Amino acid sequence: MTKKGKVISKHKYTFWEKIYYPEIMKGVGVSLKHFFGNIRKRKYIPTLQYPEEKQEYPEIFRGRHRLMEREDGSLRCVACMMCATACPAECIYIESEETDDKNIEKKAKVFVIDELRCVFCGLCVEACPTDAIRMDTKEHVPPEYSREAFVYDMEMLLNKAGKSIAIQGGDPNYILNPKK
Amino acid sequence: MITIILWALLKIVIIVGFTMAMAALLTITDRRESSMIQDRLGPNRAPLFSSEVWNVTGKIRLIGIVHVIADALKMIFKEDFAVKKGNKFIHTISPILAFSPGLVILAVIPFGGTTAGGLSFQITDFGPGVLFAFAFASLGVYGIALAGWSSNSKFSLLGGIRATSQMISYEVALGLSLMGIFLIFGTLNLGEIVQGQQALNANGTPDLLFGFLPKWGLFLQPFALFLYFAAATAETKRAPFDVPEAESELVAGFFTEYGSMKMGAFLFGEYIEVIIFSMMFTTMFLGGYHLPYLYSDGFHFFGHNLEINATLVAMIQLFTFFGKVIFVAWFHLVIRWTLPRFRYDQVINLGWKMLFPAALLNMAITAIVLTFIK
Repeated sequence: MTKKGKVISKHKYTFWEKIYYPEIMKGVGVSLKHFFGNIRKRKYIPTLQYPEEKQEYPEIFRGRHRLMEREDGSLRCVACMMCATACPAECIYIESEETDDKNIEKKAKVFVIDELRCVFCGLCVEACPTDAIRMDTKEHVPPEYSREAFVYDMEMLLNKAGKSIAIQGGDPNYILNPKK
Repeated sequence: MITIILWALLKIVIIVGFTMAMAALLTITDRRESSMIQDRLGPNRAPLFSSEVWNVTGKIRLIGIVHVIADALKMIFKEDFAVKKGNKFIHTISPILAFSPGLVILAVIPFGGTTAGGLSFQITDFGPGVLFAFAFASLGVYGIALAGWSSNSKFSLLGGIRATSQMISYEVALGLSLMGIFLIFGTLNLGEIVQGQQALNANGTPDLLFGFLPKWGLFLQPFALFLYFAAATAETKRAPFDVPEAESELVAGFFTEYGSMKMGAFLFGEYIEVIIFSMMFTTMFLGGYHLPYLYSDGFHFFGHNLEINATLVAMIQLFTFFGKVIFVAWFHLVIRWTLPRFRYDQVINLGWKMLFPAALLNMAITAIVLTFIK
């Protein structure tokens, strides 16, 4: 009859392992290494103390939206509806109006994003031909008490606004060297 | 007369105050130290003054010490419940029974030398001090066994039984491991044991081992040190000997059915036991309150003498003792957070089959060596 199954050899304890104390001292050595390493410099502790220490989000993080302005402070949005069309969650609502500016056809009168419906896919940012909408705030949408409060109007979207000097079609330097 | 009473009261305030404060601090030290060993941050967030209520900028957190106050407040204000079918009277008194015997042991522990006026830092200096300490250390298990019985819960009962059998098993090894010390110093009086560990010869020269080591139990009985440390750790019922609690097997062991400050008393009693253990260990093996080469009339360092007032020496010794106790308690916690828990049968096997014969052997060898030396 052939033997079936694997024969597992038992660990033979040496004399020094049997009397236990040297092994305890080895373990205590490991404990002390971590204790003294952590008590002075937090050498091995990866924990971040959240409200005081925050982790830097990566550059490509898609946070809450913001609208951008031109050099003269006017809204960059030309109400072309590209973002609202691209949006898979259908959370963007835009109403347009006439503008005096001869270079553009129209501008946005109402620009509303429902942050609860938004899936933060970033398609609106990619669709925008004028770099009017961005998701680079690195911010989460803060908690609110009502659903209505999550519907951000133009004022909310503009309070983080920055002047965009974007080149139409994106900055090739940024794409080639994302770290910069 | 009035001086003696006042001095006695002062001594009680010093030693009980130190023990209580250290036991309270050990609760947070235990948690922070374990976190440091396990690469966590641990509890460090409870603020002393909430900036919203007190209108102070910044939060005073004192590396987490405020958690002691927060925990105590939480436990005091929790509902005080008792099990319906348990024995309510015994259920209520058993935390007190488990908690108080430890404090009685403080009466015989010498925690400082004698001042110039002849006042000693020991509450009662009486002959069988060690026996008194052991007797009251064992009494603590009554509270635990009764807590297990009166809770009317299988887990609690098992915890109580485990605590009892563990106490019986390790009490033997505990007593026998110290026999060598008693043989060497020829006394059971804790004060005399400490004085014997660092005494002056009749001609005023220091009585040293091999001419340079103080005669501490650490150097005279190195083998007994390990045996005593293991046996006394088992007596404190902390890991690796925490089978009476054994979270993974018995929920919380004997205090499963306890809540509020009653459970707090059990936990606090455990830390008091750690402090008492550290004090006994210091007294037996680390020369008690002695600083190396410092005697009651000053330093004697290989022929160089430095005269110091006896009262000042007593004060230095007081702080030396507290420092040693804190160190031993800290090291005890390191051991506690290094080793995993023994299985129940391993605990009993270790006590009866290894520590007990080893302690007997140590006693026999010490007796034979002493017979040939003297």
